[in-house]
Parts: sequence; C-alpha cells; structure tokens
Amino acid sequence: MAAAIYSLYIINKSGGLIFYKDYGLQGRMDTNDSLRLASLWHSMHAISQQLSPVQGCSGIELLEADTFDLHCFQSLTGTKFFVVSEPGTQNMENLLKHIYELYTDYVLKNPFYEMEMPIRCELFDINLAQAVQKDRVSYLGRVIRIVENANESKRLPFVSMAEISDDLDQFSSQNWGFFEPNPNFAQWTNFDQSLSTFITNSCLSITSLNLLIDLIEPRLFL
Amino acid sequence: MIGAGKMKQYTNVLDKPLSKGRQEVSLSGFAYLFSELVQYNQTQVDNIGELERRLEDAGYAVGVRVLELLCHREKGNRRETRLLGILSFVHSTVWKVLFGKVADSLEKGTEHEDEYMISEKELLVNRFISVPKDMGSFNCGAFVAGIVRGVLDNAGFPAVVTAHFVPVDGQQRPRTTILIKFAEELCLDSRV
Repeated sequence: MAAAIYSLYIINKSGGLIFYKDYGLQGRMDTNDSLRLASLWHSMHAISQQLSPVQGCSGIELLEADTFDLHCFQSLTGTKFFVVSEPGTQNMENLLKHIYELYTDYVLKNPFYEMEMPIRCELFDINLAQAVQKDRVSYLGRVIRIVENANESKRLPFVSMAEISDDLDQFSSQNWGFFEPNPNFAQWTNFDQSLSTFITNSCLSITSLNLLIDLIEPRLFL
Repeated sequence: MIGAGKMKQYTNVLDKPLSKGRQEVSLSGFAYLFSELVQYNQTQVDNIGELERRLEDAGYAVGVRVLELLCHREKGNRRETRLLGILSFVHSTVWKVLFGKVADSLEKGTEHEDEYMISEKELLVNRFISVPKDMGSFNCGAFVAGIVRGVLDNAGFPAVVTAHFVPVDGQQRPRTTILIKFAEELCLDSRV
C-alpha cells in the first residue's frame, strides 16, 4: 500500500506550523524538526517570489528532487498547504485544493478553533484521512520550477555556487561595474543593488534548500 | 416602463403576506453565523453549563416564532391538543422546514412515561463543529433543544429538553439525541 504522500503540512500566514500529518513509515517527525521545516519552507517561498525572473510570481508551487516532490498551494489569505510526495505523483494540486476546502469547512467553521493556532479538530482529521486514502502513484526527474499566476512556466537550471560565479563573469563583461569574482561574497565592491539582492537570495535559497532536503530525505522510504 | 405591473407596496410590515419566501439559505453562511453565536456566548460565560443554557435560550426564541409561523402556514391554524400530534409536528414539519429533512427517528423512552427522544445521525448545526476534549459532553445541539422547547412550551406542552451525544458501535461519530421530558402537570404518568 505505498502511500503516494509522505506528509502534509499546513502553515499559517506568519510561517508557523499549524498542522502536520505524516503518512510515511517512520512515524512522526520530531516537533522541533517539523517546526524548522515549516519555517524553512515559509522563507524559501517568500524568497522565491523575489527571485523569480518573471513579474507577479506567487511563489514556489512545485519542488522536484530525486527522491521526493514537494507540492505547495497558497491560499489568497497566505495560508500554505504543502505535501511531500513520491516523485511524479499526479493530481497533487487537486488534492491540495480539496484539503483547502476541508480546512475552510471543518476548521474555520468550528467555533472552538482560534485563528492561526494549531489545528485540533476531530472532523478535519476524519475527513482528511478519507481524502488522502484516495490517492495513488507514478514517476519523474530533477528541476526547480517557479510558476507565475498565469499558466506559463520558466525553467531555471539548478543553481549551484559555481554557476553563480559563471553568471557573474558574464555580467561583468556587460559593463555592470567593476568587481572581482570571489567566493567570499561579502567582499563584492561596486555592484548593482539588485544584483546583490539576487545573489543573496540565491545563496539563501540554496542553503535553505539543502537544509530542507536534509530534513525531509532521511525519513523517506527509499 | 409601459405595461410593467407595479408591486403593491406595504407600508406596515404586519400587513405583508406571510409568503413562503426563499426556500434556500447558504449552509456556509448559516454555519459561520452559528459559529459566531457560539463564540460570542463563550466570551460571556464562565462555565459550560451556562453556555448550554444560553444557546438553549437563543433556540427558545426561534422555537416560539417557528411554532406561530408553521401553524399558520402548514397547518391552517389548527392547534394540536394531543401529545403524539405535537411530537410528530416537531419531528416532521418543524424539522423539514428548519433542516430540510425529517428527523431520523422519534422514540418513546422505556424507563419513564413522559420521556420521548428525537434522534438524528448528525444535527445540521453540529455539522462542522468539533468539540474539544476538555469541554466534556458539551453539545451545540443545545440550540436545537431550545427550539424544540420553545415549540412545545408555547403549544401548551411544557417540557425540559436537552441534547445528548449517544455513542454508536461501529461509527466514529456519536449520534445526537434530543431528550424531551414532559412536565408533571401534563399527567402523562397516570395514563395506562
């Protein structure tokens, strides 16, 4: 009965974890780890909006790695629902939208639920279990895809430290100012403000990405 | 516009006909309103018993008006004098108008003569509500119990009405029972 979904997380608009359910074989993650993962994802999501080459980006919708996929859905109110699933699992967007519906029904209409607090609603758990049971599997590859509101998508190659410095060499040849390629980014001089933001954001996302993968990967059934 | 009829304008709301009105109300709208009712009352009380009482009182006000309206609309202003009559009125007509379906069952209590039970798999008002464990046996169905009490009281059958969760084997969620205990002055015990 390989569950296609490994785990489900719901984070409130300030990035705090309000719901975490694990469907994998290793049981529940340590609470601190799950909180860390949630805030990592929250910040990465926010950074990606800045990093996107297209205007009006609403954040990461899909993260594809070798051993897992991470699908994220952000509601209009900023609440994020994301699942870690087996690579290539189909139909996760619909599942996330369905879970959002369950959230609006059984959590928001519950008079005993305080906004932005951890979710402890029996009806939500029951209906969620039914919704997740209905999902199944398939297979795929490796890229980060940042999608904007419309249906276009741009593919960015997975950015490594080496590649950033390659790009910077290109930039330097286009008269962006004088600077020296140096692995210690703190020593950049005379660079454009937006470029520095780009670099900072890229590095932050790479670091966070590595941390995120370190948190998720050991717990997957390989 | 030429030829368009003009609706008769009523200046006094009491002169307006008691039409059927719109049959459908948004479930989400009602759910949010009811949720706010419960939350508001929670801020006003110190304990759970008080909260149940307040919800019941809110329901009582609804019950009084529902009885008047339905007697006029559905029953042609006939008054129920028999116990079974009023109970089946509550069980079918009132439930149908308020919740869109008749209640699941109407049973007579086995221990006492004057006890009756209306049960429902899940009350409409409780559909989206999960009561936290630390509130014990609190049931938002107290609102519905209040409605029933309002109807019975004003029809001349005073009773104490309460809502209870009854666990059922094989089902995760308990069923809800509205327990009606008629007052002594109705002399039901003396019947054979």
